Amino acid sequence: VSTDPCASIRELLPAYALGALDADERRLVDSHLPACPDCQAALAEFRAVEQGLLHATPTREPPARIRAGLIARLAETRPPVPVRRRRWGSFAAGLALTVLLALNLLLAGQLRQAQAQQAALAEQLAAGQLALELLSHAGTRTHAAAGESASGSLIVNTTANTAVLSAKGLIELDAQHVYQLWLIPAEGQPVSIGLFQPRGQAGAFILPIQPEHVLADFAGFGITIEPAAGSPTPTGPLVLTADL
Amino acid sequence: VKLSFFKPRVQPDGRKPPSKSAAAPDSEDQRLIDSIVAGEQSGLLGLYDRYSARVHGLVTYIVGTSTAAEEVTQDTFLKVWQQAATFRAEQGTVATWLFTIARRTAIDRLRYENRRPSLSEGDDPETLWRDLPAPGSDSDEARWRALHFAVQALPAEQRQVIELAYYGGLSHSQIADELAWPLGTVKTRLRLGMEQLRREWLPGPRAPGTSKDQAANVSIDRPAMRPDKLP
Repeated sequence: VSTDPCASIRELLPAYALGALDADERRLVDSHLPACPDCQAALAEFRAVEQGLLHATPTREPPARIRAGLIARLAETRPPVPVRRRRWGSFAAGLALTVLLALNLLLAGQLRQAQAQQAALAEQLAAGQLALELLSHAGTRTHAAAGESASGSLIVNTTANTAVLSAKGLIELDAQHVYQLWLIPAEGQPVSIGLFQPRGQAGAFILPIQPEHVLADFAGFGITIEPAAGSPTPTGPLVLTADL
Repeated sequence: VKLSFFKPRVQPDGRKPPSKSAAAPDSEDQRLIDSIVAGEQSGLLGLYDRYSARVHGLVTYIVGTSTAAEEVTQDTFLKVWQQAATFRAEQGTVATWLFTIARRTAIDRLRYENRRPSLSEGDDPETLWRDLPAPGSDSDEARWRALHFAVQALPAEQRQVIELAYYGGLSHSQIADELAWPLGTVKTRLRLGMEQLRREWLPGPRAPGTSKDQAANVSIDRPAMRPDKLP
């Protein structure tokens, strides 16, 4: 059955179900599966085993302090934002007033945080020499970014039309959702500049600013949670904003 | 802390919780999720009280008995608090979704600390098996126990590869590095082990791909594997 293209794929399905394939083989399976009901059926069985493994470990009563600690943390975390559409026109208009006011109140803490993050950036920016260079420029400004549970700072150089986001508290999303990045004009619809899958909950990230988007023309920056393919306009909850 | 492996949770009035077939705990789980989405802490605490022992068991199996396990368990439920709106019932059960978050959070912790999974069941194996449900029971607990035994009964080198992959988040090539085995050997052992688990644990001819949550809907129509098959 060496002519059967499924034979080599079948051998990979057990590891695929466990998430253990290396990238090249995973791509092979990804491209084969959609057109092959037989392999999909075979995969379903290994997926059943995989999900079973989630359940097949010994139970262990957690110490009471975990529950107590959880209650304390819930108290300081605001409830999840109900998923509803925001009115972005009024949001952009209100940004200057409400968010600026809130940011001013938080400024002292945010500045300390931003400074600490800039120090931490020095290491992370090995991935982006660009960001280091940016910070050394006189025209670079750092804007505080804040959200329900996420926070950070946005390092912007309008001359170079370049921005680096340093954020923490971005929760891990499931496969059906993605963070989407927006530039918000003073008037009109937010402009998508790309999708964002952070590695870990904190880190530095160079924003994918295209030449046609001139940073100096925008009043704000925001991140929303959207379906995996992204959305033409923001629909999901706003997790982070910064005033430019 | 006393281990109670697969011990059915006893409700405040002393009754054992109804089995899945009797009263579909999925609807109660869904009610709790709805409550969390509405911002009610009681919903999250309700879910915690139902599942914290199983989450903590899974997490401890991965990161070991430590402060890390406590933090990961707490972080898992905090993520549920923040992400409940992303749960989709058509993609599986609340329990599977919750344990998936717990597994990922625990593996992230391992990576952060640059460690390998603990895979330890604790220090008192006698206690582990005392409270098992009756053999032949078709309860969920019996099904998970059967799979656990099936994993334990695998040849050690197959079990090791599967556990490093699934509870350690490692890929074929990372496992080969870790164990200093040839890549081809790792691939073969993982495949043989998974095929064995499928044969042992899933019932005979079935029509796969028809249910939303295979693991939760499969019933065992052969005698459950017995504890004396343990190594």
